[in-house]
Amino acid sequence: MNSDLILVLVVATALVFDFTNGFHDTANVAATSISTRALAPRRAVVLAAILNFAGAFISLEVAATVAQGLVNSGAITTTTVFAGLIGAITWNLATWYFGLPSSSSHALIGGVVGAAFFAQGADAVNGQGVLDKVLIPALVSPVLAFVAAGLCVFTAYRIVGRERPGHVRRGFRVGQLLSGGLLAISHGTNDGQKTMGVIALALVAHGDISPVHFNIPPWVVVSAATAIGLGTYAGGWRIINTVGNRIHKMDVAQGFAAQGAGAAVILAASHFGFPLSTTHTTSGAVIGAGAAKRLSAVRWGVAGNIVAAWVLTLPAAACVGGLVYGFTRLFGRGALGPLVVAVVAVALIAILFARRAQVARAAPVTQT
Amino acid sequence: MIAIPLAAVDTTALLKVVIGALIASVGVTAIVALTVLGASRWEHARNRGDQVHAIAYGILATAGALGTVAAVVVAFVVMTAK
Repeated sequence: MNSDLILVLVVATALVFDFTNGFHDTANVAATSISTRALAPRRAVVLAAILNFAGAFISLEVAATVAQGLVNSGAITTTTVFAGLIGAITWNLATWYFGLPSSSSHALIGGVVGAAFFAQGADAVNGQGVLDKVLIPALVSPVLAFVAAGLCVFTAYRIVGRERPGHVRRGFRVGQLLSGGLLAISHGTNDGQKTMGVIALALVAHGDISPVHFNIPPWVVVSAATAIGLGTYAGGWRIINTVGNRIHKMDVAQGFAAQGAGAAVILAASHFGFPLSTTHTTSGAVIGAGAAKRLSAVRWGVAGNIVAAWVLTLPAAACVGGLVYGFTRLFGRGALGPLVVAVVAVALIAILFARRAQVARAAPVTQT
Repeated sequence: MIAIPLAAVDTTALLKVVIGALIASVGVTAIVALTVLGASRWEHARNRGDQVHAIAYGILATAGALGTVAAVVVAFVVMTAK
């Protein structure tokens, strides 16, 4: 009975995380289209939500990586997964509050790894998996996207630099619809599956799935795809504003270059088996597209804050995941600890959203 | 103790990612930019009554548009083939 209740709490928390993942990462796929007026804001967000939902059904490889490649699934308990999810949600909401694009994937991985480390020690963590699947792509993807977007802007300006602005704007806006669509689908493929992987991890710990004959049940796929789609539809407007306007003011060629380079990096990495953070990739591409035009066009202070959030994501989410696990153990091994944490978390989230709404009403520059 | 053998990182695959991403992104940008260039100059040549240039730029724009669609299809195949 106790373990069933914890499993229900884990699944509900995972879906809440997936929702925060969606609205936190709406900026990755919609900000440039909105900023360059290729699409109206609500239309861009609806399109991103639909394509994210669809993308989550395309493959289950990333889900398997999260469930099997980073932690020793045999050593994981449902309480560990729950604590990791709370760590990830906490970091996602903290960065959203300050309008910073940070990696939901790294928050999730950090939370789960931190909780597993705290609960079972270093043996529960697959160090090589974390290096291969998380740390190396985290270093490579933003730099690669930065360089690729810069080269794309240079190429575009060389070819159409002397053409009439009206034609160029119309042409690249159509291009942005395609590159933005690809980016949204690839985002759904990557990020939708991470929650599926975590729910699968909890199901393994609960004994519903065999760690040997690993498969993701269809209800997990559908619920995770729905949660990320709804989250994307909710739209994290503060982060959209940061990515679309605060790093630098983009023209259509830069917007297309940023989206195209981001999609190319994500697809190339996925094809060769390197899962990466769509947030790092997209932000790197946006900064690269700005720097290619003029270095001073980029607000490096904002870019610095974003990079600082990236660096802090894994350790911060890991610390919160570990602390939450320790707190739940104060109440024993049963469901009481996770239940208390869930109630406190819901209350804190409600307060946070109410406070944010109050600030937004006072200064209505952005939506939620 | 977590042992992390750095030598085990697949640098060949990583290099393929770097090269693949650079070629794909710059290639697609060039194709889209050539489409825009073709369409813009086709209209300009047509307005001037310059049939030869209009046909040449029309072909460039059409080929570019087809190339763009092909790139999207390839990207989708890459995604679904994982």
